[in-house]
Amino acid sequence: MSVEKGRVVIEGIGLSKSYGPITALDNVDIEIRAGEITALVGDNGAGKSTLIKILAGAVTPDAGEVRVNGETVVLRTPADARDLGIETIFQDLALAPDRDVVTNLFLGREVLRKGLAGKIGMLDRGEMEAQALTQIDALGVNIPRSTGVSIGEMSGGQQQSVAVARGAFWAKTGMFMDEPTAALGVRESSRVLQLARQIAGSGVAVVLISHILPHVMELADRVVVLRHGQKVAELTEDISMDRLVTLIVGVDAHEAAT
Amino acid sequence: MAIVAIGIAMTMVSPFFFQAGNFLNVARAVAITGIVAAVSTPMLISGNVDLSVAATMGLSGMTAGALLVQELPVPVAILGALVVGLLMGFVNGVIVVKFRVNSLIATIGTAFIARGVAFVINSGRSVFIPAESYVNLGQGSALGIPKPVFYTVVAFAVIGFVMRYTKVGAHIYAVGSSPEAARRAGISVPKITWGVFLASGFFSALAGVVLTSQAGSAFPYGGQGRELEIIAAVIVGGTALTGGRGSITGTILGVVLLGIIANSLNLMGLPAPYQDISRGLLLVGAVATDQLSGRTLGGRGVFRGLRAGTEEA
Repeated sequence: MSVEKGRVVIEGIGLSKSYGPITALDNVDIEIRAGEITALVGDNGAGKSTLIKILAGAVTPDAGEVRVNGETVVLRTPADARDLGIETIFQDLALAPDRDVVTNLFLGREVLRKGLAGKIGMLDRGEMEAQALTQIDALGVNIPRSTGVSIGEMSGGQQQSVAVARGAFWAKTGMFMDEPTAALGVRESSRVLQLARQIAGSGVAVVLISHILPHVMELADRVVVLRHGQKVAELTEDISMDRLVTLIVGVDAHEAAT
Repeated sequence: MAIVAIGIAMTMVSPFFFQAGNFLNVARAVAITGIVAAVSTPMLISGNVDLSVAATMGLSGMTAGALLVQELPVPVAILGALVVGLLMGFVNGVIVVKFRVNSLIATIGTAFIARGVAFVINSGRSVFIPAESYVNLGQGSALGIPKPVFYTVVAFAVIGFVMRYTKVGAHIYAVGSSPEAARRAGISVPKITWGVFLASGFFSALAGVVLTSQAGSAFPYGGQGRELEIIAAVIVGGTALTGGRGSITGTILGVVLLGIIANSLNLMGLPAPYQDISRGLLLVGAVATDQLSGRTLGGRGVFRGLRAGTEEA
C-alpha cells in the first residue's frame, strides 16, 4: 500500500475548465506526491476547488488529462476516483447525522456477510464494527468508541474527525481536503490537521485547500498557488506569509501597503 | 410502559380485556392497518410520505373484485391487484424522483386519482366476490392465528429484517438522514426512493386484497381514511417525519397501542368518535413529549424505556 515518499501518484496535465464565459481553470499542470501534503492556495475564484473536483471526478475538464500512478484515467464520477483510492473530504460534512460512526464509515461500501446471507444483502455488522474500531484506534481520533451513538450528537470537531477517518480508511492513493477546518474551532482544527499529517505519513498523497495561511505554512511540504485559473507558483521552501500573499494577490504586499 | 399501564387500567375497567380472545380481537382489528404501517415505516425513514396507500388499497381491491366477477382465476385477480399497487408506486416514484415534486403533494394527487378510478370501475357500486377460495384467504385462521394477522406478522418480519440487517435498509436510513451524504457516498437516491414507493404500492395492494377477502366484497371506498391512522401509528412509534430515524419495532408498538386504546374504549361502551379523539390526543401527546424531552422523534421519548429492552436484544 505505502508507496515511497515523493513519488508522483496523481497528475493533472493541461487541465482547463470554463463555465460559460468564465475561465475557472486555464491549462494547469499539477503533480501530487505520495507521503506529502500539497497545499492549494489562491483567492476566491482562483480555481482551487475546480482543480480538486476534476481530480476527484466531480467535474469533467474541457481539456487536459488526469493520470493516476502513471496511467491516463477518465474520471466520470466521484465513484471512479474512489475506485482508484482517491477520497475527498468536504467542508460541509458528508455524513448521515442520524447514523453511527460504523455506519458512516462504511456508507455506500458496506461489508456483507459471506455465503447466502451476503447474497440477499445481509450486512456483516460485526466485521464492520471491528474494522471501524481498529481504524479509530490507529488514527487516535477522539470520537466515542461505543457504537449506536449517532453522528449528530457529536461535536463539530468529532464529526469532521469521523469524515477524515472515513477518508483515511478508504484513501489508498490520495486524499483531498477542501477547507476541512472551515467550521471548526482552534483546537479542533489543529486536531484535524494533525490527522492530515498522520495520513500523509502513511504514504497517502494529501491535498489541502485552505484559506488559513498559517495552517498551510505549518503543514504543507509543497504549496501550489493559483491565480485567475492559472498556476503561478509552486513552492517547496522559503514559504513565508509575505511571499504567499504576494503570489496570491499578484502584487507585492509591501509595495501595495506603501 | 404505556402499553402496560393502559393494559392494567383496562383490566380494572373491563374484565374482558385480559382474555386471550380479546387480544386476538385487537390483533384482528389492527391487522390491515398494520400491513401498511409496516411499509410506511421505511417510507417515512427515507424522508418521504405516501398518502396514497389507502386509495391504493381501495383501487387494488376493486381491481381484484372486477377480475373475479369476470370469472378469472383467483391468482390472476390477486396478481392484477398487486400490479395495480406496483403501478401506483411506480407513478408516485416518477412524480417524486423525475419531477421532483414533494412526496406529500404527489401522493395526495395520486390518491385522488386512484380513489376516483376505484369508483369508476363499477360505477361507484361495490362488488360482491363470488370466488370462495379468494374469500378464504382473509377469513378463518392459520395455525390458530387469524389469517389477516398472519399476513401482518409476515409483513412486519420481512420489512423489519430488511431495515435492520441489510444493505438496502442501511441505504434507506442514509437517504432519509442526508440525501446529499448518501449521494456522495455513491448511494443512488433515486433508486432507493423509487424502491420504497414500489414497496409501498405493493404492500398497500396486498392490504387491499386482504381487506376485500375478509369482507367478501370490494368497496370503491375501501380503506378510506386509513392513511392518517397509519401514519399516526408510525409516528407514535417514534419514526421521524423528517427521515433518517425510526424502527419497525416502534411501529409495531404504535399500531398495538392505538389498537388497544380503540379496543378499550369499545369495551367501555364508548362510541367510535371517542376513538378518534383519543387517537388524536395520543398522537399529539406522544410527539409533544418527545419534543419536550429534548429530542426529536425516534429512539427516545415516550418509548425510550420500552424500546431500550427490545432494540438492544
